[in-house]
Amino acid sequence: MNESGIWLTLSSTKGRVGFGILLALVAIALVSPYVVPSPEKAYGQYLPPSAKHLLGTDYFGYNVLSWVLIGSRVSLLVGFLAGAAITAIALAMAVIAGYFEKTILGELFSAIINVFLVIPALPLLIVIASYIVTQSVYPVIFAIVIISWPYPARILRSQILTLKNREFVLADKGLGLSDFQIIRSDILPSLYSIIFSVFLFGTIGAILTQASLQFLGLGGVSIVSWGSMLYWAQNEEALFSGAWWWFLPPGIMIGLVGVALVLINLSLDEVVNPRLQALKLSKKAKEIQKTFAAS
Amino acid sequence: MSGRTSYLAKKTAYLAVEVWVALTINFAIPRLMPGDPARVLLSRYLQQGVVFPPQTLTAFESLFGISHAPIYVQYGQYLVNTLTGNLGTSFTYYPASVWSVIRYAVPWDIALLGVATLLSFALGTFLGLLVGWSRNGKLDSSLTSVFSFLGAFPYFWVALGLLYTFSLVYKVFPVGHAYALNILPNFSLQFFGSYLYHAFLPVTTLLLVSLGGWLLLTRNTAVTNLSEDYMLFGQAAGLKKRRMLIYYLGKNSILPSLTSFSISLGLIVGGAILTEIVFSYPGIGYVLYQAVLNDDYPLIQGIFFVITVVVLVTNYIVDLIYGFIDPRVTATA
Repeated sequence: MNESGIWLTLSSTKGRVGFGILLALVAIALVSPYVVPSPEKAYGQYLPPSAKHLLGTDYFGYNVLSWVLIGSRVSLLVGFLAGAAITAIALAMAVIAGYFEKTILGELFSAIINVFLVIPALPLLIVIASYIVTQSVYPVIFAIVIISWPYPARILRSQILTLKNREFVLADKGLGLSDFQIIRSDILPSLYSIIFSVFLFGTIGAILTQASLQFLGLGGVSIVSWGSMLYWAQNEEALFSGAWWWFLPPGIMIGLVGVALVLINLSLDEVVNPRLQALKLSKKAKEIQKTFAAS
Repeated sequence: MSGRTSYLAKKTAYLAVEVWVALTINFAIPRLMPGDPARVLLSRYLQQGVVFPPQTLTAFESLFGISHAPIYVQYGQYLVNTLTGNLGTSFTYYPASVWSVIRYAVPWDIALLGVATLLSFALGTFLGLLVGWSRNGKLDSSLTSVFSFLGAFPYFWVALGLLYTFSLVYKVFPVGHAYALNILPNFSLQFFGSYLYHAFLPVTTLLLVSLGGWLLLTRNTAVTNLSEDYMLFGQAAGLKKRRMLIYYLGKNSILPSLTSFSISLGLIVGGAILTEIVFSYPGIGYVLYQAVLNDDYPLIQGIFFVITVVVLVTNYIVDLIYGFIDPRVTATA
């Protein structure tokens, strides 16, 4: 699959729905600060949803809709930034550990991946985050990247290990192409769909992890975000007070981002996996046979 | 060296390196981050408008065991202390030592995680086989997509939703804790019943987070195994579907998923921390939450160390068992 292949995902319904949701969310993130009332403006406490406050107000009297819409900025920023960094680091580690498997450096990197893979991620993240004092989201992104790269690195490494023994790679090697050329023109292009999928799941994972961290009271709970909404809702026992309109929306929004990315990934599968394509064709063929048999 | 001995040696060496890395990370993080715990704590108080006299810093430093000795002396001291079980003093549960706080919480984790891990492995593998057998069928596509979409939602949010629905609205299950407060933990049937009743919702939510992984893994192995010659042979020999599913497909598809046990364990441990907070379950995750709320650095780091060692040793044991059941692994080591 080549670069333009990612846009092929738009040819499937799942891909279009996924990209549609994602674009809408990005638009909300960009526009909301100029449109909705300030999330810091207090109204009455726990006002249920009404025409004036579409999603009601929270314990502090803040407008829940403002928080939900403006909160999208943090989640999307964390997701895409961490997703990209996780993908880049995982790929670099995997190329060294996989393609240069037999060198000392390769073996060392392989061992590093194996060791970091088994160290439990969330406890490690909690330790790192407990030392972050600022209310900025960037140190948290950094910490999430640190704990998230090993698993995708392992997946990419095993792909590279099988790829490097395929005929077309061996042929290029026989022709005297340098390692750099082979990685650039043989290995990486064959990995595009997996790299893209690593990016999608890295993004979902980062958004979920950041929300979990804030739910634990770490990583800046005064930031306007979905995670801090859930932290305060839990802290002020929103559900015990029956204020479901404070608790439900942030979780649904996080899920919506995740569902959009999963849909894009599923459409990617459909586009690149020839077996699924064949299955679709054979289903169609069967339908045609049926209609013929019926007539 | 025979294959099995060298396999054992290799795995043991890996375990030693992993424990050493965990120890070193635990040592390095407080020293790499801007500000040591004493200063972090002071600045937290300052943000809340509490001002302390200057000698407080020295007092905090001695509480956290921060010394100004050369870094290698500190490192040596730290290794000796940790390996002899001296993890410092918790100040959330002052004057209890970190080790005694952890020791009190761990049995609840074994009770909760043990049940959840076994159930999720058994159920996930079984469903994965079933789904792999009828691949691309209705059951396959619906289960696979249910679990991939479920994974997109924050797990603790789903757990809170379940707690709200079943404990507050319908009052079917208790709102928290591991057993009824009017019963003391003992070996009676009454206590065991109370434990099961309280564990039901937490275990169910842990299943939600971990089942999907086993299911997808077994499904993918099963799908690959379906095209093997022995499957064709079994079919040609006219074997019954159930026999084929269990003895032919099952036997060959369960083993490979064990190799991913380490990743699944990491997931379930992370999930357990959040579960225990949501359900106020008195395990190590709940203690960790208390430690985080109180900036109890000795306790946070002690818990990280203990969780990591338990996870590493469990992986080690699973690896050894795996090497024992599957001779192919030890042959190539």
